[in-house]
Amino acid sequence: MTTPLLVLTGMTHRDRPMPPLEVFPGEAVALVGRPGTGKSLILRTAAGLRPPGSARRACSVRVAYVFAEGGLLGTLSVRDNLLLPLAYAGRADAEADVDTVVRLWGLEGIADSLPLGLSPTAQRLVQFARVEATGAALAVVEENPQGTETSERVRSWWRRHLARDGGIVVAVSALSTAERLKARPVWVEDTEGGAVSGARTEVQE
Amino acid sequence: MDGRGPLCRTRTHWLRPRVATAFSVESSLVTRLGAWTRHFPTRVGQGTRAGLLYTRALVTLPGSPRGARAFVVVSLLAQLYFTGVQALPLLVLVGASFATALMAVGYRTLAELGAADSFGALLSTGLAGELGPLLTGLVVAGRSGTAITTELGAMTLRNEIDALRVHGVDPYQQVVAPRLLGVTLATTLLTTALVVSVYVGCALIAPLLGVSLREIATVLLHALTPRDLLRMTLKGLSFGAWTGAVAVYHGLQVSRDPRDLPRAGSRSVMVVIVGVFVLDAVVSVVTLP
Repeated sequence: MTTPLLVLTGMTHRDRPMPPLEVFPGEAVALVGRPGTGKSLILRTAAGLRPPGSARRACSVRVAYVFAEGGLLGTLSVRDNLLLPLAYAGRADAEADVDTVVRLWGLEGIADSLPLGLSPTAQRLVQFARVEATGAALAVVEENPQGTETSERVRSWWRRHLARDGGIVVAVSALSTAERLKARPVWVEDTEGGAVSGARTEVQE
Repeated sequence: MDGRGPLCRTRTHWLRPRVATAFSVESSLVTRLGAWTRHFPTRVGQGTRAGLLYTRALVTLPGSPRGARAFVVVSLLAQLYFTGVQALPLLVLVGASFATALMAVGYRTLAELGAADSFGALLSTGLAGELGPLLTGLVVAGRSGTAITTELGAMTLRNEIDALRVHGVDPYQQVVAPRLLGVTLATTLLTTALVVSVYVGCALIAPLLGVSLREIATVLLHALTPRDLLRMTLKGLSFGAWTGAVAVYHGLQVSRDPRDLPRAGSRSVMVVIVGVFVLDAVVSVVTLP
């Protein structure tokens, strides 16, 4: 039996139970729900940015995060932003790895620029490139206001990441987006009685 | 007819809202005082925890991976440049102006009273041990303390701190430690620079007041004691460390609400300034002969 990359159960938000979350290798999971239903809360708890409290979180793999906005150190160049996590991980071939990722993502033209001077779309691409550079098995992706996921570079990474038995958790507000991303939808929203429906898989492609 | 005249109604009309307002203000102040008292132990606990985390970051800094240390050094140099080098002309100008005033008023008055020799002691104790570090501490608090709080608050708002944390980068090592070290070192050096600039300024102005360079140099340097230098250094170090720690703490306290940013800046500068005065008194008492 395959071990999940991430298990998150028993979460509550505004006294409402949140759906359990399990991500298996090679699987993309989309948290689907309206704004304010707690998708970001689940993502942040899943990534370890927020203490789980009474919830249970089991994650034995390295996590990388793609924020909706920001998420890159403004005082470091794009290249250094990619290099910093690798340097802290003590990777010996960090520089070479970053060069490879820069070429792969076509970031040569902006590699020496500061992120705050870049467009939000370019910043988001750099964040995806960082996921690839760190080699994290689990990518947690916040809801995307720029539509970057539709770009070929991100779709290509998406396929590569899943093919390498990585996992992806992404927050989306529309089911159609989850279907387009070929991600298993997990509903995060109120139903009539205020309860949460949990994972619905009938719309999975 | 209710028996009350128009005057009575008018009085009631004017008084009621004012009384109500006065009471609500009073109760608001009392409520705020109560809340502050209730939260005080929590704040002390949070401050202590932050202090321990900062100390751990400084202690573990040499043990961080080699590649990571390069980023820390760059960050430290940037902080030293901003707090130290960029503020140097300002401090030298303050020192030179102060020297002019001291020589024009202080030295001449003492000379008229036949106590010109005491000018050195006045400068040594009053300036190197007291006023120099205090002036520097206030300049650094206003300039660098606020800047650090705002910068870290903006970093929090832009998810930079969370990004560091989730990608395995210790924000205390990468962000906090260089700023603490940078501000502490820069404040100590700036204090020295201010005191030196006053001494040099006095020496340069002395000939204009008919005092020979040799005479003023003898008066100034003979009075300077190791205790004054120790006091100056201790104050520079403690003011710098305090400014850095408070500024960083308030910067990292900014939540996801952008309105927190100016509030954090103003809270930080007030706490730093009050703390600088308290530390000044403590170090002065501790280093008494």
